[in-house]
Amino acid sequence: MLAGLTITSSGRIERFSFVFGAGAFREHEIFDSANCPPSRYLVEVARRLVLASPNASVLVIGNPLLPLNAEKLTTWLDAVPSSPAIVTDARKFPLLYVLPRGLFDQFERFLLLLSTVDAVADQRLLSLLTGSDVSRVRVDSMDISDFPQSTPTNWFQGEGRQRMLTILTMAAIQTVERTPEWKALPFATYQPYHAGSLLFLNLASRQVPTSFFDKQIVCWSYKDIYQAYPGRQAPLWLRLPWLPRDNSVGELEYLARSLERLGTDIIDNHFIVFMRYSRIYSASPFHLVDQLKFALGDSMSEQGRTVHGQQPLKSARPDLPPRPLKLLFHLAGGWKLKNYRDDHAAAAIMTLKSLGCDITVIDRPDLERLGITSITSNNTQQLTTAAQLNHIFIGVDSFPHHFVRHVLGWPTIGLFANTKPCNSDAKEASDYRALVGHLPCNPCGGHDQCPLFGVSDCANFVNPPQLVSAILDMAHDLYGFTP
Amino acid sequence: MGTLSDFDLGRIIADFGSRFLVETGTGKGTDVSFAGTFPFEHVYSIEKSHGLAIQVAFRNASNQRMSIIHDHAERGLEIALGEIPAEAPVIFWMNTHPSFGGDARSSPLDRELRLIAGLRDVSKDVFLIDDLRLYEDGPYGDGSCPAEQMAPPQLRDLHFVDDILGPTHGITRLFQRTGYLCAFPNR
Repeated sequence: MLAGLTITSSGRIERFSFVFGAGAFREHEIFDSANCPPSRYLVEVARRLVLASPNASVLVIGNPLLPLNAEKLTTWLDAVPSSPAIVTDARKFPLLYVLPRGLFDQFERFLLLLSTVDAVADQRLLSLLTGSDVSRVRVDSMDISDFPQSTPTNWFQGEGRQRMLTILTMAAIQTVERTPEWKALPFATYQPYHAGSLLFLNLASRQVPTSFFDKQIVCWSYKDIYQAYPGRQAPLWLRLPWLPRDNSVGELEYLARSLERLGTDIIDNHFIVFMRYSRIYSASPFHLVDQLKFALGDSMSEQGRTVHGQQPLKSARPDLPPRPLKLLFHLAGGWKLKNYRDDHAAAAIMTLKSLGCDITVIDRPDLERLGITSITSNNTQQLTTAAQLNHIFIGVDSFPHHFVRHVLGWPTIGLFANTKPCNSDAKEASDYRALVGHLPCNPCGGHDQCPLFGVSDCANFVNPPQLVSAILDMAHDLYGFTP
Repeated sequence: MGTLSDFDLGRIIADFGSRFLVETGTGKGTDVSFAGTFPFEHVYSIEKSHGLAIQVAFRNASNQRMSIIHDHAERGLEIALGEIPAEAPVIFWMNTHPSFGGDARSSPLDRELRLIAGLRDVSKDVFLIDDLRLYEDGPYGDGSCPAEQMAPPQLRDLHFVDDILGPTHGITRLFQRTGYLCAFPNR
């Protein structure tokens, strides 16, 4: 639940409650995006309030992290002496923000800098933004206690995440205090690691006409991806290795080192907003590109704004004879449960070879025993070259699949298992198919081990006959290939 | 296993005008930290182990003149050399501990040197190559190379170094520790 109140200059109060959207785009639904901080929902609720109540002079917005309704906000409002103000629980966790309408009109994107978890930091920031005192009112009878690691409304904001949000609010405070021209400074997204995330961010940024952001913090090892498909946001290169996926380094530590690495010059001249996952991305029915579009500032209030109804940006085919059918596989994703099973891969490959197919696999020299060619693909140029030498690309839910389809427009078959295709697939077409099994446990959220069976393979991939059939169908439709 | 501190880096910098240092094989970061005490414009270190790379990168996060690249050596070299001006002399500290495929036709060192020579004019660059004993017999301070580490017979040959650097460099063998092959620009 998301909630807000509007107050007019005559003291009239209107109440509004919203829910996270599940795909219907009704008036009381707000787009469900995992890629934005809770403060992005403060902004969106404020937008909805202003739209519904244009004469409002004060906006009261419940903390998006909490399952609040408008009636509950009203009960706390009595204690608020004036606007601006923050109402907190007994331990200074923000419950609601009371903001002058002018603050929203003038500084909408600066609301992104509110932590939503630390009322003291938020009070200080609001005070700097408004140039006035900000009251902090405590509701002693209310104690949020430790905010849970994950919530029924799909937030995950454990202690480490909360500290990250607070650190970035403190960095923003420092920036405002040190930089006289702070109002004109650019905003930068903090989403530096993982190739697929960068690609989707750049795809999204090209589709958002008015973004909050001018810059993006990106690990410099992804320079080739940025160069192959730049977004509208200029890069701020983070010269650190990307975050390992094995949890050997926490995101909080990584953020702290990132800020150290970026240095005071960058920090003093940018406002940095956390853009990695704050919510469970697979709970949303929306594509990650759309989730990022919302994070960048698009309200995504109509279905027509989503990518699911759109044709791919580009469509391309190889200049190759139909025989032999040349297939490029990518079988290993960012975590173990994304990997297509070795024995199934071997079965599919042997069948396809027996049908006269010429098979190349990315980074799997161990499969050369099957008579395939293993190639390295260390950068987007190598991946592009490899894809263009083949009729069809077959890839798991990982960067190569998304790049080959979304950027190159190459005929592609996507292999999904424990992730939902709708979060990262492409539009179904004669040259694109997303294959996934039918197990009800999808999406499980597991990474390296099946939560049900404890094994490192996901049983929800399609089996080899289904995969071979899909490949042959596409080869026939596109190239007239028959075995 | 050798160490960069066996070399008089200050003198090499003075003699050859070296402005950058590129290391392959960061390991625990001892050598890159040592290099960081010299007035290089930038020090690059390449490490294929993600865990080691990030540890060393975090430790040196505030040093804006040092970059740790998590990648295998060839890709890391491409990244580093993409940033270094063509005319700026470089010291290459080739410090990876290669694993050799039994039927491999070329060693990682061979490929890395050819890559570097293909990406830039190396005539002013210094090459310090660790673990000479992997490739050649000799009176090494740390003894002969254990058989399991040794390059396979077809790769126990460093003629490729002469091919690549011979025309422009003087090549010296040192037998301290596990041995060094050094190539200094002809003057």
